[in-house]
Amino acid sequence: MDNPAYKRIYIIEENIMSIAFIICLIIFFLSFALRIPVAFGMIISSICYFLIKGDDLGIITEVMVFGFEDKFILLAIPLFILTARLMNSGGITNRIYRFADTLVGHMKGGVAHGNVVSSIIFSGMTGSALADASGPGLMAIKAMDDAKYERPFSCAVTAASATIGPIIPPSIPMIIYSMLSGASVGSLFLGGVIPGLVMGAGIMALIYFLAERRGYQKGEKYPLKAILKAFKEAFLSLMTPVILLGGIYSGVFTPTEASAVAVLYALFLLIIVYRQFRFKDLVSVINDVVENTGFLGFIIAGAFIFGHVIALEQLPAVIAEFLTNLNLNKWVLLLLVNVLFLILGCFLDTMVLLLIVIPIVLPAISQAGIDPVHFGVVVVLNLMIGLITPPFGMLLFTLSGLTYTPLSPIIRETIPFIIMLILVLLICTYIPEIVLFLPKILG
Amino acid sequence: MKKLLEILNLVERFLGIIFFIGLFGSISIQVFSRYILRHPLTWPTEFSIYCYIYIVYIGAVLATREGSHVGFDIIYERFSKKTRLLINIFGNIFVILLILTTFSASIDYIKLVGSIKSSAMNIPWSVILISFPIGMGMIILHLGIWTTLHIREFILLRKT
Repeated sequence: MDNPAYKRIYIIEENIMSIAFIICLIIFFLSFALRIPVAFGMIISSICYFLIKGDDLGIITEVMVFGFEDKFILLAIPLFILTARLMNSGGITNRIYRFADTLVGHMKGGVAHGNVVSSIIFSGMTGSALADASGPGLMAIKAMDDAKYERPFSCAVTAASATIGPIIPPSIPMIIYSMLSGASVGSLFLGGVIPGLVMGAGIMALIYFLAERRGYQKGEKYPLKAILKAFKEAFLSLMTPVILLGGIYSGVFTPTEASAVAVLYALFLLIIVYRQFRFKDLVSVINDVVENTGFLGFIIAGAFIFGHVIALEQLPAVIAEFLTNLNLNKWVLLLLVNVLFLILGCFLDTMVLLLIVIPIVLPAISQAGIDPVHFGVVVVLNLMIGLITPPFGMLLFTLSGLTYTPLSPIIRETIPFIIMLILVLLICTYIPEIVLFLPKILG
Repeated sequence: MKKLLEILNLVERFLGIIFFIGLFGSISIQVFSRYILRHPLTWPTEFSIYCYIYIVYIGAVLATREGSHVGFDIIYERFSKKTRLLINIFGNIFVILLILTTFSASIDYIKLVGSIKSSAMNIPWSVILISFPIGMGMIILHLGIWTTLHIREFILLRKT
């Protein structure tokens, strides 16, 4: 290697690698700006990288197929999506909403509180914020319309409370984080319980404050008999999280198996108990789930090959070294990561952020001694705030589309909720026990 | 051509449902076998993962057909309709050409390792790996259809 000729070749090779990677990144960002779907953007920029380097393109097939081989946990995603769709298509969400309303409807801003409580309950059955917004959320918006709440406020409450969905277990983003980081899904699920409840309490406190200021009326106060009746009607639906989480934490089944049990239980409720489901509907629901799994799985496959390129270029190690050299203490590092995710969350899709940015920052996080479960819950909370921050707030788009309400007033009404959720994020970031208490006790 | 595409759509959706039933069924069998019969099986895990891989590629094809893949449209929305159509046309052609470059390497790779058998079910890897070129081929087909539609729309827009 001391031979100058070798040195020259080595430097040229180094340069070729860098140029290939720079072109790969340019194509990725260009495709992104020109609205080429993110999955395609990652795949074509990786193809360009291998073409410029002159590598065998067979690696793309290998990584994009066998990347899934040891990711058994990912199989839970289509099954949790199916559970959410089944719950939304039958009368289950209706029963949950009625029960929630009898509990908190009498408070000032009562129907809005019912919206939040039904979201918290529904969170224990599905792992998706969008499922929450389009299921019980939509039902709550109708109830809030009847109680004469302004539609943008109803949408804002629904959007904010839907972000609790993936924090309280089960959670699709936590499953993906677990795949990326190797952190235990069980611990991540447990870690999300208290932050999810804190989010709910924060949102309800804000609703109470706004209700006082705007003079929203109290809802109907139900007698104990009515509450018990609503509880009885919703009882079997309320058992879903108990069966799911009880099964996982007692070691009876794995999270993936729990997702299959959740589907079986939802089918049992809809077909046998409530008799509100037709097999014809099942075909269209499965079709939707296959399509959803496809576009999500394709982003994951794209992230596998793009991540492979990033790993070949040793980018995570370079960033970890850079951050280590800055000698930041772990709290400052967490603050930086939070700011980074909050900014990126305004522009990027949750899954893209999760699959591209997390593998890059993970080595630095691990070197700083930050608990991967704590970091995972903080990251997912961050991503959920990203769902309601403009200009790219997926939940805002969804609710605006579903309720035919203009986006701008919804965004205006959502801002106080974003501030509240950022406050909860900071609490969970700087008091790790909020996240780690349950995993330590029960994990 | 329209009839052919409709049949293709039905086949894609039918296969999606079959693989989904395969995934759900095999995990359910595993739960039943392990916890009720106390006899864990090795094949359901492998089978369910292979079903999942097929669902991903079939679902990606369906999402391409419906145009529901996630993209970033804040900058894109600022362009005029004509420019957006041009971006779509050239973007799709660029994606199609680059994906096409991977086909021969993909087939070579499958020929090279395809005869290796999976550990639990003893099925050749080629059965799993072939999901990639088939899925990508179908995606190219749908991107081609979208491109044709965009070109037609662009010509109509220029005339008016």
